Amino acid sequence: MLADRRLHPSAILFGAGKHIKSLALPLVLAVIGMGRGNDVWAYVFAAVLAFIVLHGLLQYATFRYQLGDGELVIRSGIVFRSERHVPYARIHNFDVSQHVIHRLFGVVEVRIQTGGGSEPEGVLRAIRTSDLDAMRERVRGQELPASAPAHRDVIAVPLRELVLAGLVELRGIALFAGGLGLVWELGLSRVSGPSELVRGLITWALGIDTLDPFRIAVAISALLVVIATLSVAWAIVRFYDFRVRFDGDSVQTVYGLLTRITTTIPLRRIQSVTVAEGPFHRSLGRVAVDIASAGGSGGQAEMERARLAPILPAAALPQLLHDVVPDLALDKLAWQPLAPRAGRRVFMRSVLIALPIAALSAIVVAWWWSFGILFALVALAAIHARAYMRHSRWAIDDDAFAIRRGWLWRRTTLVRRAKVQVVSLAESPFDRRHAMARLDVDTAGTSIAIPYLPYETAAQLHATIAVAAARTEFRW
Amino acid sequence: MLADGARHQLDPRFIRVERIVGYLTTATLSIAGFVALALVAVFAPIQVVWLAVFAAAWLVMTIAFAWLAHRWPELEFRHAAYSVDIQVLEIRGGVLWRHVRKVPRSRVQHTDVAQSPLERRYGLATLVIHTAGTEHARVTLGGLAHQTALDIREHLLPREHLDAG
Repeated sequence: MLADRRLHPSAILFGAGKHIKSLALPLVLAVIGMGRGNDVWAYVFAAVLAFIVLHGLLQYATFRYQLGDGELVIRSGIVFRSERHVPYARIHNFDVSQHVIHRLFGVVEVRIQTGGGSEPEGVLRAIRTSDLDAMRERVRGQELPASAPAHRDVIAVPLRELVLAGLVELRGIALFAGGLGLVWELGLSRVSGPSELVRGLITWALGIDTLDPFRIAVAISALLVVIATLSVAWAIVRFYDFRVRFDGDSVQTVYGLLTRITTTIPLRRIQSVTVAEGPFHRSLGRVAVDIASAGGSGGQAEMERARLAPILPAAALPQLLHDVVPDLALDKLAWQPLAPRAGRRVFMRSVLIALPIAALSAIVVAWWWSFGILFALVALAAIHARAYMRHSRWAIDDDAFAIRRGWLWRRTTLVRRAKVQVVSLAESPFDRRHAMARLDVDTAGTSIAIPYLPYETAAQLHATIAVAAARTEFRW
Repeated sequence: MLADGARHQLDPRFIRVERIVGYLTTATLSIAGFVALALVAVFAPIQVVWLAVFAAAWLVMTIAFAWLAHRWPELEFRHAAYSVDIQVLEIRGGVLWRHVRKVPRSRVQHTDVAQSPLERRYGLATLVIHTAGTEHARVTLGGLAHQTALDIREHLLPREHLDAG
C-alpha cells in the first residue's frame, strides 16, 4: 500500500496568499472604505478574510498526493472530489520554484505539465525539499537510460554577464513607465517628499521657459541612468546565478534571486529553439536563447517559452545547440533566400505606411517639410527592404526546419521536423499577383511563418513537410 | 471511396446555409441601421437633406450587404475543397486570402463533428480536428454532409499501433 502524502502545512499560507492576490482589488477597496470610517467595509473585509482562511484550511485538509509506481496521483477538492492520475512518462515539464517565504519554511512549489492546455496538470503548493527529491527520482526514473551522462553544468552566467543582459534587454523602460504610471495612479505626485523632489528636478531640468541644452542633456542622461539601473536590477533579480545543466536526457535551468526557479525539460520534448539578437547583442557578441517545449504554452505560446540562456557569448552558441538538439546538424544547413522580387514588396509595404505619416505631418509642419519627411521615410524603407532581404533566410534538411528573420532584431527559429503539426500554405491577393506564398509551420509551442516564398518552392515544401510528418509518429 | 486523395467539393447545401446566415446578418444590421435612422429623424434636429443622404447610405449599404450575402457563399464554395488520403487531410479555403492546410493523420489528437441548428436542418456538419499545434490547434472543415463528416472522422481516428505513445 502506497502512503498518502500531504502538503507541508505552510501550503495554507501560500493558498491564502494566492487568493489575496486575486482579491486584491476588493480588499483595497475595503481598506479604503474602513479608512473613511465605513463600518460595512470592515465586516466585508473580515468576511472575505475568514472565507479565504477557511478555504485554505479545507483545501489543505483534503489534499493528498501519492507517488505510485508508474504515476502520480493527486486527490483534492472540498465539495467536488477529484482524483487525477498523471503517468510519470507523460510529464514533459517539471517546474520547481522557491521564493523567499518558501525558503523560510524549507519547502518548494512544484508544477507539473503533461502537454495540452496552458494550465499545469498538477500544482503542489508546498512540499518539503526531501519529498521533492523522492518525486524527482520517480519522474526521472522513467526516462533515464542506463548510460546517461552524469550531472554537468554547461552554463553558469556570471554577474558581469547579467549586467550586460540587463543593458541589452532594457526592460528598465517598461519598469520605469510602469512605476511612473503607478505613482500617477496613487496620486503620490501631489504628496510632498521624494516625489516632490523628482518633480522639482524635472521642472528644473526641462526648464519649460528656457530650453537650455545643458539642462536637457542632464535630464536625458539622468533618465538613461535610471533606466539602465532598473534594467540591470531586473536582470539580476530575475536571472541571478543562472545555471543550465544536463541531467541525464533532460535539461535543467535554475535561476532567480528572490524566487529560485528550477525548470526541467526532457530534451526529446523540445519542439523548437529560438536564438534572438538585437543590435546591442551583436555589438557585444552575445545572443539570447529560448526553447519551446510541448504543450505548456496553450494560447500564449511566446510568453510561456523557457529561457535557456538570458545571455550567451555567440561563440558558445554552437556547443549549446549541439547539447540541446543533438539530432539537428545545424552547421550543415543550407540557408536559402526569399523570392527575388520580395524586396520590392517589402519596400512598397513600408512606403504605404510612410505615405499617410507624411501626409499627417503636413498638419504639424509646413508642407515642404512634409516632402522632406516623405523622402527620408522612403529612403528608410529602401534600406529596410534591402537589409530585410539580406538577412531573411530559411533552410530545411531531414530533421530540421529553420527560419531567420529581421535585421536589427534578428530571430533564428529551429524546429524539429518530427514535431511539426499542421502545415499551411497561405496566399494573399498580393502573393497571387507575384506568384508567391507564405508557409506556416505549426508545432506545439511555436508557429513559424516564412513569407515571400516563390509559389513553387512553397508548394513543394508544403507537401514534403506534411508527408514526412505523417510518416513519423508524434511523441510529445 | 473517401481516402482517394482526390479533391472533393463541399456539399452544395453549404451555399444555402451560408446564404441564410448572410441574410440574417444583413437583416439584423439593416434593422439596426433603420432604427438608428428613425431615432435621428425623430429626435435630432438635422436638415432634411442630411436625412435623405443618410437614408440613401442606409439603402446602399443594405443592398450591398444583401448582394454580398447572396454572392459570397458561391465564391467560398468554389474555392473550398478537401482531400483525404492515407497520410494527410488537406483543406482548401478562402476567397481573397486563400489557404491550404495539411493535417498529417498521425498528428490528429481528437476530432469533433459539430452541427449548428441550421446545419442540422440541412443535414450538414462541421468537422473539428484538434492537434497539438499552437496556431492550428483547432482546424475546422465546415459544409460537409453529416455522413461524410462522420466517415472522415472514422478514417482519421488513430490506429491501434499509434496509440502506444
